[in-house]
Formats: sequence, structure tokens, C-alpha cells
Amino acid sequence: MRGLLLPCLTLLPAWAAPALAQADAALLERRVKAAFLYKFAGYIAWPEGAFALAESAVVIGVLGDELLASELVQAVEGRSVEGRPLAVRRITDPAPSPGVHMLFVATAHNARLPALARAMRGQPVVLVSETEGALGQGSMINFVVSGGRVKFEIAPGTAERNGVKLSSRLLTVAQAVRSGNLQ
Amino acid sequence: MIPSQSPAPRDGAFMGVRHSVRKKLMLVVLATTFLALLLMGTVMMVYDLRTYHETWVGDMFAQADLIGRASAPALAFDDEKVARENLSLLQERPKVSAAAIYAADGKLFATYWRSDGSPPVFPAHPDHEGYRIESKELILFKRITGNDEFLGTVYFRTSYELLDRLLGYLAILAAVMATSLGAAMLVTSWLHRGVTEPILAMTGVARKVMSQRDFSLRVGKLTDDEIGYLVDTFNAMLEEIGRRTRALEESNRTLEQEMAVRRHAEKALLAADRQKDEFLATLAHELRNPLAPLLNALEILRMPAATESAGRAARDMMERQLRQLVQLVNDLLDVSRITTGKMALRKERCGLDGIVRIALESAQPLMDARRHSLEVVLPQAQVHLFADASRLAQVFVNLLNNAAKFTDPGGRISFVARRNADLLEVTVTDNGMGMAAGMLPLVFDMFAQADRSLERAEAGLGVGLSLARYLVEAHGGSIAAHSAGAGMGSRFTVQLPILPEADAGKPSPPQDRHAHTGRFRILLADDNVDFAASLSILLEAAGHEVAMAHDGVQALDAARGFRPDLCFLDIGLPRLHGYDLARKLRELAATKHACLVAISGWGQPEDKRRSREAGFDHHLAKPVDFEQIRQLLEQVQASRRAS
Repeated sequence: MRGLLLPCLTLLPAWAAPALAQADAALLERRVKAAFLYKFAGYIAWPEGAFALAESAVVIGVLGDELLASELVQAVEGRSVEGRPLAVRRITDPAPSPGVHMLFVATAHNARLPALARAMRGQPVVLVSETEGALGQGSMINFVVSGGRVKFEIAPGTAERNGVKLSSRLLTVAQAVRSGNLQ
Repeated sequence: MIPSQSPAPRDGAFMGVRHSVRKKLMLVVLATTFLALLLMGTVMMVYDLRTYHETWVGDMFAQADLIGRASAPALAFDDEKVARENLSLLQERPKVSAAAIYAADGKLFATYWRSDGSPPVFPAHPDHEGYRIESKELILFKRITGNDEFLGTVYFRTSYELLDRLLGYLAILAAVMATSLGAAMLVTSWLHRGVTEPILAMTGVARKVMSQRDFSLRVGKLTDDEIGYLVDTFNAMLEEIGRRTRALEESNRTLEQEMAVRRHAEKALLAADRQKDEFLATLAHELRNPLAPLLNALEILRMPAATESAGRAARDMMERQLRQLVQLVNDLLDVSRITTGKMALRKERCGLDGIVRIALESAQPLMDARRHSLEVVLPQAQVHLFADASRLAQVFVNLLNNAAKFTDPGGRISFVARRNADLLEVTVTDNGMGMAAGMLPLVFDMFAQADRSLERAEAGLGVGLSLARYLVEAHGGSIAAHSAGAGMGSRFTVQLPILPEADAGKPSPPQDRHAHTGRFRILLADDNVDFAASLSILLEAAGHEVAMAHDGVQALDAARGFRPDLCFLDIGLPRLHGYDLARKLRELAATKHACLVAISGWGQPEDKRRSREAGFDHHLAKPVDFEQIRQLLEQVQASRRAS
């Protein structure tokens, strides 16, 4: 599976390199990932039944990463996706959380990923992880840090099994696209 | 200029006209073509350039939008590699020389430039969305949004070929214009042949017609259109003008001839008038001349102391003068008869000898008075003529008197008559004053006199020769005058037809006019008492019995008792006019068979017909002289005897 990963060829943005070089590179990483998270919402099509109302918010759940959650809260402030506001929900309970459209699973909780994936099978929830090999464990978007830059790989097949469609435009910027077959 | 086919102009004015028409024609064609092309070219060019501009800008914006949309995820997820790849798609659009994507914060995110170009200088910051045109290049900025969020800006730098296009268009327009104007020139040339040339030809002919006045010139017809019709009409007008001009000239000539004839007639009238004046003067003189001797003679006769011989001389003188007066009056009457056409000739067979004898007797006194020697030669054999003896004698007398008058005393005059085939030729020759050649044609004119200076007493009235010619011609003969010149004497020749000798054997009818005059009972009706009375005396002297009446009723009454053989009736009688009187006389038993003679102031055939219808046997036109009546009486006598 890992052999499918392509080396990262992208250049560092001018502002990224010194930032990441700092001690608070971890904070920056959290911030970038938070930004990516809400931006993903623009490239994901949830099924009709995923929202109660037309103006219901897109709920992004964050499991086990308070720093990212608070960054995300700041980032989504005042933003919307296709008319829907964005909401952040900090999740502590590893049980499936209804009403969440996207669930970020931090590396610390990656062990719970397969169980989560099973539990959420068939539900329109996009699982986002940041652990190498997570796509094989039921994750649909997995952050990768390559050459000091945050990238991601995606498994559109896995998302589709849950009735969620990842935009093909997302595929153009994904570091890798894999079939996302579960073990 | 298009080479001209028309004949070379002859003067400046004509050339001006020619240029004017041709120039205008060419100007119209060229200006129309030029304006149409210019207008159309400009409109098309503006339209095309605008379309080009809009299409190009729209196209580039669309392209930028596409690139922007494709690059939205790259911007969102900070993937400048993908953005660069997107930009590199522009290699398919070589007109795009450079392109770039700026991130939302205005930093340059990805760039592109054409592989064959050098790296361009990109703006440090993106502008607002829009475009501008800088030195043949279109520079545009297009904002990129995703999920209602400003993501960044696309920057394009492309070539903008409006000026090239404009130059290309101008070149095409120039080429088309040159071609079209060339074609217009050809059209003008063709029009020149079809339109201008016939007009020029017409102008030329019109000029020629005006300068040469030759209306037979025609313009050649080249076309069958309106201009051909114009040419035809022009030719027809020329013909009409020519015809009218000829008619006018003809009429002018006729007028001139008439004027000449009239001038001539006027001259002739003036001459005749002058001659008449001279004649009147002469007549007065001639009539007065005998009066003084007559008065003198009367004085002599009254003188108791006058001797017998003086009295006889006075009576002889009076007789001479009276004869002259009588001759004058007779001449006047003859002139009157000739001019009114009433000269009556009583022609009969007569011998030349008798005629010549009468003539010589009459002419002898003047010959003797002027002591001329007269030689007379007659043909040996008797010659007979069908003539009025007394009138023919008058001709010879006139010629002899003329010769005597115009020859100085003691001259030689000859009278030679000889036969020339069927003609009798009588020549009277003198050795007198003669005539200038110019005078010869005039001597026979009425009242003509060769020399006014001649002694009046001997000049006469100037009617003698005229009478002679009239009488000779009335006898079917001719008369001619000859003279070698003034002072060379004159010769007059008369030619008369001779009566054939076959008739010569017949005895002449008794000609003595006095011998057989019978006695008639004659009724004379005329309101002119003097005329009636004098005629009555003459008739009674001739042995007739005469009754007189002075109006119609009186005449009718007289006729009943008098039973006349002959009636002389005036037509204009009071109370009962001549025509009615004649009808009533024809109804009377006494005058049923009488000979009725009308005496009228009118002698036209119509008047004669009227009197014949009224029952008259004869018609005499006034003035009536006794000679006519005497001849009439002889005629009646002869017819009575015959019946």
C-alpha cells in the first residue's frame, strides 16, 4: 500500500519554509490542517439526507486535537460552503456522533479509526486522518507531511461507499489517490 | 484621362464643353464608387475590429476563468505545482506570451511564459479584475473565487493585434479601391462611348450647322436608347429647320421677284402717268392752236373792207384749221376706241390701189407744205387685201405724215409697196431726223414722242404710229421701225397678208356706200335731246324719215302711229326703260318685225345678252358716232335686199 505513495514534488510556498522551520512548526501544521479541513467541505458532495434543512450547517467533528479544533473554529468564523455555514464540534466520545459530516481523527486516536469506520459505514461522514496508512483503515482523506509541507492523499472509493462524493478537482491536488479498499 | 475617340475640338470653347461633360461623368462615377467603398470599408472595418476586440478580450477572459477555476483547488490547498501545470496548458495558445496566478494575499503563486521567450517581468501585485491594452498587448486580471471565497487572481499577457488587423484592413481596402476605381474608369470609358460621344457628335453638328448654315448635316445614330432617340429627334429638328429655312428663303426670293415686278410696274405706271400728262398738255396745245387762226379769220370775214381774195384766204385757212381739229378729234376717238376695245373694223376685199390713192390724197397737203419730194412705187399687178380700206389708208397716211413731219423741208420721202410671196410689204422711207437706237422700241407706244423740242404744231398727239401699229396688227400684219441713228433718216415697214388670187376673178360686191342707201322710217328714243336732235338731222339729211321720243312711254306711243322700220332705243330711258320698251314693241303689230337697236353705256357680253333677250337685234355701246349708225343702216339694207 505504501508503495503507492508518490514522492512529493511540490515546491514550498515562500511563506511556509521559514514558518515550519520555527519551533512552533507544530502549531503551523495544526493551522494548515485546520484550513485544509474546512476547504475540503467545498469539494465534497454529501447526499440529500445528510442535512436536515437547506441551510443546515456543515458540521466538522475534531477528535482528540484541541489545538486544531480551536484553530478550526477561528478559521470557519464567517465562512460558508454553498450557502451552508460551517460548525466545529469537539468530539471526545469515540462513539459515533450523529450530525457530523466530516470527522477529523488525530494521530493520537488513530487506533480507533477502523472501529469508527465500521461504525459509520453507510453514513454520509467523511473520515479525515493524519496517520500514514490510514486510508487502508477506512479513512477517506489522509494528511501527509512531505518535505515540510502539508499534503494529503484521498480514497474516493471509500467515500462513495458511504454515499459521499469527493470532487474530481480535489483529486488534482491530492498527493495520491488510492482505491481505499479496506483490509 | 480616357483616350478620346471624338474628333479633335476646333476651338477653346468647344474643348471647355467637352471637358465639362466628360469630367462630370467621370466625377460622378468615381465619387460614387469611392464614397461607397469608403463607407462600406469603414463600417466593416469598425465592425470587425470591434468584434475582434470583444471576441479576443472575451476569449482571453474565458481562458483566464478556466485556468482560474482549474487552479482554485491548487490555491486552496497551496499546490503551486498543480497551478503551474494548469498554466502550462497555455502552450496551446501561443498568443499568450505570459501568465501568472497570484494567491489571495497578492503573492505570486505560479507563473508561465512562452518557451521561446525570455522570462518576463511579472507585476508584483495583481490589479483589480479587468483589462488594459499596452503597446499591442492585452493585459488582463481575472479573480478566482471558490465557495464564495476570493482565492486569487489570474494574470494574462497576450498579443493584441488590432493595429495589425487595422493595417491589414487598410491594405485590403486600398487594393479594393484601386481595383474598383480602375473598373469605374472602364465604366466611364464605356459610358463615354455610349453617352458622351453621341452628345459630342451632336454638339459638333450643331456648331457646324450654325457656322455653315448647312441643314443637310445629320448626326450618326450609335445606340438605340434614349440618346439614340435624342439623336433621331435632333436630326428630325434639323430637317424641319432646314425645310422651314428653305421655305423662308423661297418665299423671300418670291417676294423679291414680286417687289421687282411691282417696282417695274410702278415705274411703268409713273411713265404712263407722265406720258398722259404730256399728252394732255400736247392735246390742250393742239386744240388751242387752230383757235387763234379761226378767230382771226372770223375777224377778217367781219371786216367790210375785206377783199374777195382775203375772204377766200380766210375761209381756206378756217377750213384747214377745222380739218386739223377734226383730225385731232378723230385721233382722240380712235385712241378711245383702242383703249376701250371698241375699234370696229369693217373688212372686205379691196384693192391696194384704191387704198393708196386715198392715203396719198390725204397726205399730199402736208407733203406740199413742207416741199418734200414723194416717190411712190406700186406693184405692177393689182394686189387685193381683206381689209377695212379707210383704216388701212389711215395707217399709210399716218406713216407718210410722220415722215413729212420729221424730215426737214425739201426732204426726200418714198412710199414703196411690193409683193413678197403672200405678203404685201410697204416701206415708207425718209431722209429726216431718224432715231437713236434706244428710241426704236418706243416709237409705237401710245403718246410717245421722240423729241419734245420739235415744233408743236407739227408734232401732233403722238398717237399716229401707235394707231398704225394697232390697225396693222388688227389686219393680221406687222409693222417695224428702222433707223441708222439720229440724223440718218427712218424707215417704216408694214407687212400685210395678201388675199389669194383665186378670189381675184370674182367681181367685187358693190362697195359704193352711198349708192344703195335706202329710205327707212326710223324711231329715235333718247332722253339726251341734243344727241337725238343732231342724229335726227343727220339721218334726215341721209334721206330717212325720223320720229323722236325722249322717254319710253312717248316712244311706245309714237311707234304705234309711226310704224318704224328701225328703232334706236336708249336703254336708260325715263318712265319705261329700253328693255321693257323693246318687249312692248315686239308685242305691237306695227313694230313686231322692226329692227330694234339698243344704245347702251355698257358693252360687255352680259349687257349684249340682256338686250338680245329683251328682243333687240343690235347693240351699240356709247359713245355712238354716226359712222357706226351709217354702217348699221347699210347692213340692214343689205339683209333686207337679200331677203
